[in-house]
Amino acid sequence: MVSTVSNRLAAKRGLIDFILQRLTAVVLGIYVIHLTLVFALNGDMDYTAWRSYFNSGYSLLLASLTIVCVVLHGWIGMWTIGTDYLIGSPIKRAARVIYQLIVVFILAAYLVFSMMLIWGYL
Amino acid sequence: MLVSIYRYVPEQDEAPRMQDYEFALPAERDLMVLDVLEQLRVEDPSISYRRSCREGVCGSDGMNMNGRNGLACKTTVSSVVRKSGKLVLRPLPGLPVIRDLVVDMSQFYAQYEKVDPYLINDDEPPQQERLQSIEDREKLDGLYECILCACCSTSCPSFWWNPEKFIGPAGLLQAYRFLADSRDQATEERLEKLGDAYSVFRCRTIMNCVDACPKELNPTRAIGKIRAMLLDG
Ligand code: SF4
Ligand code: SF4
Ligand code: FES
Repeated sequence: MVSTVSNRLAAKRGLIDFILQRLTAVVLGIYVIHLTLVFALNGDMDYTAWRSYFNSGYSLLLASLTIVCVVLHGWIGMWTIGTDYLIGSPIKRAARVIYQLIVVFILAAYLVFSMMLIWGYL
Repeated sequence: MLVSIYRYVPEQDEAPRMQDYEFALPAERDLMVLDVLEQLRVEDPSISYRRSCREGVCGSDGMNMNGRNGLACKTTVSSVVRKSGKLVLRPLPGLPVIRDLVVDMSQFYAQYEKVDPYLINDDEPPQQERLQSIEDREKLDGLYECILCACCSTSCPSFWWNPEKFIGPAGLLQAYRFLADSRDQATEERLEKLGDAYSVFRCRTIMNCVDACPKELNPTRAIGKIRAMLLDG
């Protein structure tokens, strides 16, 4: 049962990754443009303006969505690089396990800390 | 002109080496790279390479000439040598060398086989042939002309890295050739086999394949069409 589901997923993984990679890229693009506009339109932001922007519900949601997208986008890209270059010999495959663990660690740390940061738990 | 040829007989030689030959180019006309090889072989019969039709039809003399893949029989010496004054011939990159410029194409054919490169139609065959409208037939232009020379797949970095999993531009061009055929009934089954992380999606649109194809076909476009079909499905 579990294996058929994972087989089906594996059979579509390229397609799913392809779509996710593009959707997340769009979100990242939107966020960058959005932030640039916020800074450009508000001139010199003092502490209160800064705070009220980052505490508004929509900016928190948009930032959270962006953080999740960075993690997904990063994982798909880094996984692809690993499976391009770190294949074949046992040494390379062992290196890939380590490489992927490092990537997961960095992305997970990024996810947890930036979420804590923007939601005010730090 | 200096001609530098990759020489390697795996059973005898410890490592591949480049062997240099001096070649007197005729002043009055441009030769094809294959002509140069044929003449050098008179002098040194041990040089090995494949060739058959000598007119770009059989696809057997694909090789790497001054860093670019192509068919030796339809590539002029002047177009590859340019100002360097040197002709450098190597086997198609990424495939195991059998001898000198002759490579083992098994991996390439294995990928070709994966796409079921034949018409699948379970209907009773008509008396003469399965007909197509002119428009439907035109959809196969730019696809059926492939001669399986492997110039494209062996210039593709994704194929170098994952030759067992990534179908490669030649195989994918043929996959699309049958997906686009109005007489074929296995579209869904064909697409189902292509959605994984490697078969199609390892293509990173680098377009080396388009650059390399001696028949001026465009595998990248075909791959794009397959992706679009997968996204639609
Ligand atoms: S476009 Fe795709 S198939 Fe063609 S060379 Fe690039 S990665 Fe390979
Ligand atoms: S697509 Fe072009 S380069 Fe590739 S195998 Fe066919 S003819 Fe050769
Ligand atoms: S010898 Fe047949 S394609 Fe060149």
